Amino acid sequence: MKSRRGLSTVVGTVFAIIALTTTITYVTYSMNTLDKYNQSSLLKNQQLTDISKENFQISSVTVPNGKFNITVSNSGSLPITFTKIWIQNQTAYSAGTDWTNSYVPTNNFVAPGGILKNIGQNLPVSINSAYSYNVKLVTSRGNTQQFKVNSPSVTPLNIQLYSIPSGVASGTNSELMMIVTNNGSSILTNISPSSLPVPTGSATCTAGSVSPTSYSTLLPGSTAIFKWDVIISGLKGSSCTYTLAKPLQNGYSQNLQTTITVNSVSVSQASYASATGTLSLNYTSFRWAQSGSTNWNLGWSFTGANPTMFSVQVTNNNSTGDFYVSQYTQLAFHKVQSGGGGSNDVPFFLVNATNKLPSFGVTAFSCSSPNDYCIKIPAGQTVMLNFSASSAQGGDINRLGSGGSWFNMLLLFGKYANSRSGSGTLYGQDIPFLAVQST
Amino acid sequence: MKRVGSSRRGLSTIVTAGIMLSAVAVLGSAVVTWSSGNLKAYEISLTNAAANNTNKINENVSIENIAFCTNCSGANAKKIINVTLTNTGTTSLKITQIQVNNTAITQYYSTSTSLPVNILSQKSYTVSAKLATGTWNKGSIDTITITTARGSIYTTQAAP
Repeated sequence: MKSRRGLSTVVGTVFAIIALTTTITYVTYSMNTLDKYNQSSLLKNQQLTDISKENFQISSVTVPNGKFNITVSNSGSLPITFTKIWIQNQTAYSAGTDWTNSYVPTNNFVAPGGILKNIGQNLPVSINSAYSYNVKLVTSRGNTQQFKVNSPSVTPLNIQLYSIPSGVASGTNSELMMIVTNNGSSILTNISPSSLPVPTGSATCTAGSVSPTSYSTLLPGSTAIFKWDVIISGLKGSSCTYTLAKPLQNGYSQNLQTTITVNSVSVSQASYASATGTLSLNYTSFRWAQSGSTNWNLGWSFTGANPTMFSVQVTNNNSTGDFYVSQYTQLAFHKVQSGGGGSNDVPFFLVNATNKLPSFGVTAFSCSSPNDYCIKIPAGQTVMLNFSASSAQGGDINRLGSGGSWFNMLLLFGKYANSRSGSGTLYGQDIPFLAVQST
Repeated sequence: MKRVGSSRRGLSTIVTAGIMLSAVAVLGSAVVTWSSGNLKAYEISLTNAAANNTNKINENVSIENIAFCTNCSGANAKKIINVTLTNTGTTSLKITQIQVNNTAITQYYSTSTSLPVNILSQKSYTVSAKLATGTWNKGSIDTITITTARGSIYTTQAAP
């Protein structure tokens, strides 16, 4: 029997193919549409990520020749294009005149890690350096950063003035400290303290120069500290008072006052060291060693004919400044001769390090350029110093040479500075030391 | 007399086949037409939804600057807030509403600074919103909210 497929089956198959094709087309279209949407979503996500990655900082702002000169550093990982700069005359604004304009900067591109200078030099606007301005930089991604120029004159800042210590012995140093905190929401620029006025009071106070002289920028929440060294002299109880009516140059008027008082020096066994000078000794730390010694020795008697090295601990009582010790620092021994007329001063200069084993020797006081101030005594800390050389920066081990009684002074030379190579303030001090008997 | 070895299809078979063919054709056409129409409708709906959502996520507005007008006088004294908006997205957008402290602004300093407005990509526009009641006050923080036609909302705060 012959088998034949029905025509209706063929027609049904055609319809099925049409339905299947339509469905596949729809599904394919849907997938493509969703893919495009997904791509847009990814693109948006990338844009938002880029916006969050964009980061720049205002390095400095100056006003040369009546034009802003803004320097910006790109601290992010993406290139930045500045599309607009908004400038508002805050002084005029406070006086009731609306003066807000926007400009398109010409030099406006900075690569990641790069620095963009001279922003604002080509803007068609004249800047009065006596006025306060509110400046905002806008990037192509929509990020903005706002800062204020000369704004201390517009709003009061959190400023404090201290004298540390507030009571010192006559002829010694105190320190004036002005602490400026940016309690606003914008970056402040060009923060400089006003000159110190002549102090009032019966004591004589002489202030040094301010350090540092200015801060180019001060971020919101950040603090700037200005310091003056002040030498006070006068009778016990006398004082001098510094009153600042306008603490900052071009600043807001706000009264700050601090007083330094002359105190008497009280010396007790416990406070002798810190009361007698900025640098002090720990007398119980005195140690000596001679050839053959494997350890440091205590006591005040040793053989004068042998090469001898010494070790003492010195404390920097200044709580804010690091002290860098000079090559001329030495232990000076003076022999008391019977019949009067002492003589035979023997110096033991500073060395970097001492060795007792396996060989008895020292490392000369030396360091990289500048070859001096090699040892630092950090503020408020104690450091062990070693002495043996017969001359400054010598590498030998000196000896007293003879027997007898010796009184000793530690001659400390150095400087208070921010770094070993920095200029700082030179400082020297004699400190009486333990008596020694040599045999 | 009956033929031997000869097979002939009956009339009923042919009629039945015709009916089946017609039924398949009619039903098949109806189903294909119906499903095609439905799929087309879904396709249009999907296209619109995708386009709207794609445009919405592509739009981005930066509230670039807010300036409180100090020399606006008379009825505008301490009532005008100039809000500069920049379209940082890749598509043009329409700003439909601006709110100050959750109150929709309906008055503007001038028609050239009013809403709604279309902003092309990478272009800026300044809206001079006029407070219907009250004034802005020095040191007081105001919340500025803008809404686009696609429903995106952007908010920032500023103080005179």
